[in-house]
Amino acid sequence: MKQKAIGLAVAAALLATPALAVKAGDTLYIRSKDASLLKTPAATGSVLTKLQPGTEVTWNGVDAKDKNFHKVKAAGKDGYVLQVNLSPAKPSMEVASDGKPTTMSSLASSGAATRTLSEVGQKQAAKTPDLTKAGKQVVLLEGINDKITPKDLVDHAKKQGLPKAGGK
Amino acid sequence: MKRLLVLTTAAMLLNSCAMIKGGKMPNAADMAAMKEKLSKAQAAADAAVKKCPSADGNIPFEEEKQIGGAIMVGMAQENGSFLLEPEPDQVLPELKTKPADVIVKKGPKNDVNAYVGRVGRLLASYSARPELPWVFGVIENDSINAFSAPGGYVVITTGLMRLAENEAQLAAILGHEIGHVVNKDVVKSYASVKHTICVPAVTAAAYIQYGVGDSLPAEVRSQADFAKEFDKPGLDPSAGGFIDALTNGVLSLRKTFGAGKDAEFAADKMGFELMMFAGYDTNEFDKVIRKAEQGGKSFNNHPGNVDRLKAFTTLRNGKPAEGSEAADDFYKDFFTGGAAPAIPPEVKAAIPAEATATK
Repeated sequence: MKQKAIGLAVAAALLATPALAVKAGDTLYIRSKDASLLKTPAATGSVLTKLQPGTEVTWNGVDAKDKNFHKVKAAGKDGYVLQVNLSPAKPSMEVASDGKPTTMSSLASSGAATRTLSEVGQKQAAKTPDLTKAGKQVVLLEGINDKITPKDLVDHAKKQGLPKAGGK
Repeated sequence: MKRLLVLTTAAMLLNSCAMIKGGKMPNAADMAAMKEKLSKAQAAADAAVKKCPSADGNIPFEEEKQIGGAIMVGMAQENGSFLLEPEPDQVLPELKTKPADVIVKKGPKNDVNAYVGRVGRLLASYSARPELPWVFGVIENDSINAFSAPGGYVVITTGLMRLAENEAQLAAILGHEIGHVVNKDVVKSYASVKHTICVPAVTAAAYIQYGVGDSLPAEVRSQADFAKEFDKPGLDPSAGGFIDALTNGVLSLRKTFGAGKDAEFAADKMGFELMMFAGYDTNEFDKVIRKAEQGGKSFNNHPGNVDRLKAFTTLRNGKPAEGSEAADDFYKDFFTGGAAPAIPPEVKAAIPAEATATK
């Protein structure tokens, strides 16, 4: 019973977080690069502006006719974006080696954010035959994952009937 | 501070014993000299401890990636073999091979990892860390489990793959693990372990520096070797013993306590959000939890299923009715249904009925 009470209390605490709610007037974020802010809820509609990842938008509801489109206000303009272009979270800042905030893009360009097994991981893996086997399997997994392209994700969503793609 | 007092007292007692054993009773001058040394050692230790990384400190991404690789290798070795083909020893790349240079043989088992990678990457692209170098994989293990490691590693067992009836249920599991990585739950354990190692290490180093180290128990004295690691920027890959202590500490902490209930609820919430924004039916999250329960299995170190399901209902419909007249909307206005597409039959077919390889 005590465990249940704690669980409910935690759940209640989580639900008290404002970011949880998605009500008209709440803030969401643009997920995709060059996401179109459309004048009408149609992919062929005129583009009011292009929005970039992390841009805050005010969410004003789902379009009644086509639920792939959401009414938003962004960059001072009212328009529509595809659901796939929205995210509940703003891309977070990472911590650089000097302790200062930085973006993942910056880390990626410096080579710090790649799928290569880290040097520490390699050293650990070299300790015993079992660890070496595990480490080499991780390297193969990294290779498999590295070959997945943004287009693969769009194609996957389309094939599986997920919301219309238009993102990265 | 309590630890320091214990060390100080131990040092004084042991020193006294050593002098008596040597046949020489300490005189007042010896005692005064010893007191001064201990005082200086204590002051140096206090100053060094202040420089220890805090237990809840921010860990640079590069360090997260470094330790993440070691933790991933350790967890992989503990949990079985990944679902890969053909026999790993024949084709596995070298540890230093860069991912772009890895030759991936086309085959159903490798395709399972690629499929899980596509679902995981799609979900992660809606998260607050969309550009992490995410790596998803399936490990041959009959337990109902999934785990993650810092830097973007997410692993699901074949047991859990068999349990998932559709892609939305798979997305629920992956979304939950992505939540742990985005929330840096293991990184927090790492920071805590690093702090815990630092305090006795720098204390012992200070005592040795002031000539009272020999009086410390060997176990404490041996920690002094780790003190120099805290003067280095980041994590030195050549510091094998130190990295072992960190990795084993994190793995032991996670095995014993898991991430903690708060972290598990937060990961559930994020998994739910990622499913919803990616267009999956979040009702499938409830179903996969119920299914695990019906099969007499549960997720290790997680909150009770009843509480998890209640939290989902609340996320979906608003605040619980009790004590609240006007429920908040939460996600109900945002809902557009969501899909529960089938897991491709070739993926299902490639999952072995039972794990063929364990440790």
